[in-house]
Amino acid sequence: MPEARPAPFLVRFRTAVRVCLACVVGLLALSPQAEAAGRARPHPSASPRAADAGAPHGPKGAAPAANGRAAPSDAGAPTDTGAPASAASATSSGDTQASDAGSSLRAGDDASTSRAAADAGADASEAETLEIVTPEDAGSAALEPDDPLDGKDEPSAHTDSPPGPLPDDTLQLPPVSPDELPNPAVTDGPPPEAPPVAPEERTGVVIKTILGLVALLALAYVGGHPRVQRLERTLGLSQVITAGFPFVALGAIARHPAVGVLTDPVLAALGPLLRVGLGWVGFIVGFRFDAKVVQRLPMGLPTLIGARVLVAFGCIVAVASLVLLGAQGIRRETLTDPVFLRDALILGTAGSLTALTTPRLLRERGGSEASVEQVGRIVRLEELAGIVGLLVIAAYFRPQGANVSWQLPGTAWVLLTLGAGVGIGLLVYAILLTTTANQAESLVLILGSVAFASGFAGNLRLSPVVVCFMAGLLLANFPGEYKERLAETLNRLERPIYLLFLLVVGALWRADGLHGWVLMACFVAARFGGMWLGTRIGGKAEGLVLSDESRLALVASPMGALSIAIVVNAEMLYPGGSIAEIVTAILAGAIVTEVLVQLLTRNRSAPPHPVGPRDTIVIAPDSEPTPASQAGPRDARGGVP
Amino acid sequence: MIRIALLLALGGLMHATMSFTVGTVPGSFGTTVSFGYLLLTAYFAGALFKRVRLPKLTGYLVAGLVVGPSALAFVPEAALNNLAIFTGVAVALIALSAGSELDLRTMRPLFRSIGWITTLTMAGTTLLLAAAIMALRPWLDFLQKARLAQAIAVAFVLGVVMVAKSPAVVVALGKETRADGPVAKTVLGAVVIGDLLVIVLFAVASALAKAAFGAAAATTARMLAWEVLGSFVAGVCLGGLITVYLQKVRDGAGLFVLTTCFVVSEVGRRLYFDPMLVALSAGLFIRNVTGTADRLRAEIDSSSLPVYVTFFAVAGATIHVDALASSGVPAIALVVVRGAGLLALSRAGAKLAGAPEVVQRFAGFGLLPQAGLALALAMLFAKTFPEFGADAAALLLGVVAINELAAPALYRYALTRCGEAEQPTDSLNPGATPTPTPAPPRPVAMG
Repeated sequence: MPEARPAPFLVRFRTAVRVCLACVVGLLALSPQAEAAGRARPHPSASPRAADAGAPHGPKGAAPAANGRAAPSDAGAPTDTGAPASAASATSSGDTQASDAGSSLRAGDDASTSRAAADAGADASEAETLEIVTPEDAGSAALEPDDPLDGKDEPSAHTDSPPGPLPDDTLQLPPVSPDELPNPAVTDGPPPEAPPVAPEERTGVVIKTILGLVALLALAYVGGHPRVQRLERTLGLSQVITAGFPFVALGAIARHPAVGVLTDPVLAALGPLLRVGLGWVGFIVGFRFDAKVVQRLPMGLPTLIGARVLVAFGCIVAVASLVLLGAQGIRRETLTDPVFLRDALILGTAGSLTALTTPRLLRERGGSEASVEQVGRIVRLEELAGIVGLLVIAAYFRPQGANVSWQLPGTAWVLLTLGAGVGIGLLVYAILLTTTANQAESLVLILGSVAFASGFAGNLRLSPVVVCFMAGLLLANFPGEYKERLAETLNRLERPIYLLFLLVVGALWRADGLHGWVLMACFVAARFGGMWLGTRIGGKAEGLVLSDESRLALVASPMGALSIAIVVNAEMLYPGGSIAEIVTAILAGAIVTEVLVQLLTRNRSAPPHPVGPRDTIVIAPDSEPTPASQAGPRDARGGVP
Repeated sequence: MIRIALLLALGGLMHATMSFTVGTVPGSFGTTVSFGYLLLTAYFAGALFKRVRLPKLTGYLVAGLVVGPSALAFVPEAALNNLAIFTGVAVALIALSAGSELDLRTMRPLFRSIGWITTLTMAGTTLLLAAAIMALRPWLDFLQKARLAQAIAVAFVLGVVMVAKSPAVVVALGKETRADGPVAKTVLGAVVIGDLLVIVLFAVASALAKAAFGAAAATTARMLAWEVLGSFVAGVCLGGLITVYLQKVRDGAGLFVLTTCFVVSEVGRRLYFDPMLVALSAGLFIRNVTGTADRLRAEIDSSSLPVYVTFFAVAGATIHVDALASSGVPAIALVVVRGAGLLALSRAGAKLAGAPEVVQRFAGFGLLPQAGLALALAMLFAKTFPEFGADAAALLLGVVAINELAAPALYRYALTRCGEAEQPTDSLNPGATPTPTPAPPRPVAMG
């Protein structure tokens, strides 16, 4: 192929357009990040070269090899990159520049920026004059053939230790040891190329593929058969099926080497789908959250919600801490280990949430409409608490490494996350308000907006769930004619996207560690215990009327999509290390909880709800908050639980 | 104006996002944000193009070109590579849709026209292009080095690649304009059958050309036979599976179709099947052997707009302006030869078949667009002939780039002029209307 060097007129054109856009992003430039970006630009390559200069180094390699996993020998080998003189001088100038500016950003990143910009020749020089050095300019330099570090050597987020000091209130996580390899779709790197099938194996692969599709077809047929559905209800599995957990199993099967459909390269390529799925869950939760739900709360309800969330959270954190301590050995350092704290908080946050199917279960058991409405409101407010928990974890437990550019105080990350969510929400609001799109066009707009918001958040290592939640929240609570068509679009796509999300999650799940299963058992027990205790304590609040069936529904409540999204989000923020056990605990915990809830409440069930259309979001303009009882089938059957 | 402001705001945010990017190669989040940005930008560009009476599809392509690596580089090359898995699924879905629209029974009256048009345009334009390439030999470095026999063989292969058409563009424009009538039907048939022939011819021609360069032609031929025949058989099997699903299972057909397209794209590629051929065969089987094609179309159409927008925006972003700059004059000359050949020969073919005047005048315009297959064959050509494939691929990409941008507007113009396009058109998407029900075929007076 011809050398892909842009023609000079293109360079000038790009530069001119960037100058124009720089004016457009003037608002962004007012923010501390953008201002800092102009001085000490976060850099791509922060690169191997700059970061390695002082860091004992891991696995460049975590850069997946052909099979998506790094070779241990590579991983363990210390690397001496031998940074060239130009890089060294650039480093020092970068440091000076950053310190002059008094920026809290990590100055070392400038080294690679300057080096890469120098390599990029005239193209980058021109950009440098404008103090706009784009990653691809620099990236192209870094990928030049004479560069010893090509794209494959890009370190993953979990690898290098940070070269600069951190703000005081940000907990520093240690680098993940090289042999703890993250999943292919959660690492933020390019997908490896899938190898072609050897000629002698082709016939076998064709037959296997067709058989796989036939098996899928057979499963779908059997799963939809009335007799099988009756059997599912008898065994207490119908809710597990409805919640989409078979897709987790399907994902795991498709990942199995004997099946070979979701191979590591394919999973790596499906990474964006996982991220869109995360954003989608956050967006839906936000869009369902009518701000009026917090107005005119019945007396005692805030106390009940607070008690439930705090007690369940506390119980889970305490029990999980004991298990984690047991595994790591009870030492003083362990107690102050941020990874230990982070893991416990993730478990606590995910476990203190309740699925949106809870009101439906209550209705199926013959609960009154008032009870269903009350429980629905509680569940929604608990989701808000979960979002806040995730926001705090993502802000105060920042992932470290060469791929993480800015070092800001945790509070700044909180504000940045909220600001990003609001900013993107306003943009999407403007898009929807000014576009008279039909349903298919709404699909494009929403899919594009969620993907954009999720990717935007991910590029800053913010939580896509929280950012998209904020965007959804704004859209749900701002006035506009778009809500109905937006709700229709969300309803139509909610379940397929969630199921595909679960499929990828299932494929990524590494359930082979015994420790994760022990943690799961304790997690489920602590969650039930915490929910019971929290409901008991909060239920005594003055003025609160809570029926017995509501109490039972709140205690024996399944975990929802948001819990799974939280742990997947955590796996993306902190790939590798102990997070795989946390994933096992929460994912398996969600499945076990569904089964237990069905078993615990089986004898109290009213005639089973027939399998029908999934839940739908109902927009009730200028009305009371959409309570569970009025929300139509959404709260009666779960789209995203 | 508002749309332009939104485009600028999106561009500003994307620019800011790029400044956050860490790592020289954008990872999944970079790909995710690029995907969202492409989708939104292409959508707005399509709406703007519609206002100036150009196809939305051209808007998607131009949006991709402008924000892609060739111009603003907001969407980097690596992100486009990462999106290949999605565009692969999109190609399979589009081909499945195209195949499921080819009802051979209702098209029987058109067979004569399609046959003549396809034969003449394929054979004639390929030879014309090969001759033009030979005539341009002094300006083409990669041919100067080859012996005469080798140069002729390579020119023939290049001619085959350049004659490739685009069912995706034809289907998408058909949906956008809701065109129905002899021209639209003839073009669809000629394009689908023509592309099937291109795949076969490419297999044969490149085997012969490899032989001219001293390679084991038998091995190449065997491999390509596997690709063509294997793809066809796999397509029929797949069509059977989809049919059984549509008949026996009530829910989740959309997901199943998506899964099969994913498998076709991913596993098929690794098996050296041609995903487009597999999906086309599956669609043809479903339409002509089973009675489930309408349900399949309804499943595909309900969510097809994002697929089209993404596919064409990514196709636009992968247009190599650099390649066009380096091989501009020969590429323009070849585009002119190709266009003249297709228009003249399709007219001659339609006349020979006794087709109506509108078909004679306008069917050729539908053969002009190029997109996925031509790009894929250009890449395959570069791999098949590593000695000079890169230079030749640059020429091919230049030709495809021009046709990709200009030809959809010409075909839309033709559909409007021949009176088959609905006016005013609303959108590419079928979601603007209730689930499409199969319209009874218009009576076609054909010889």
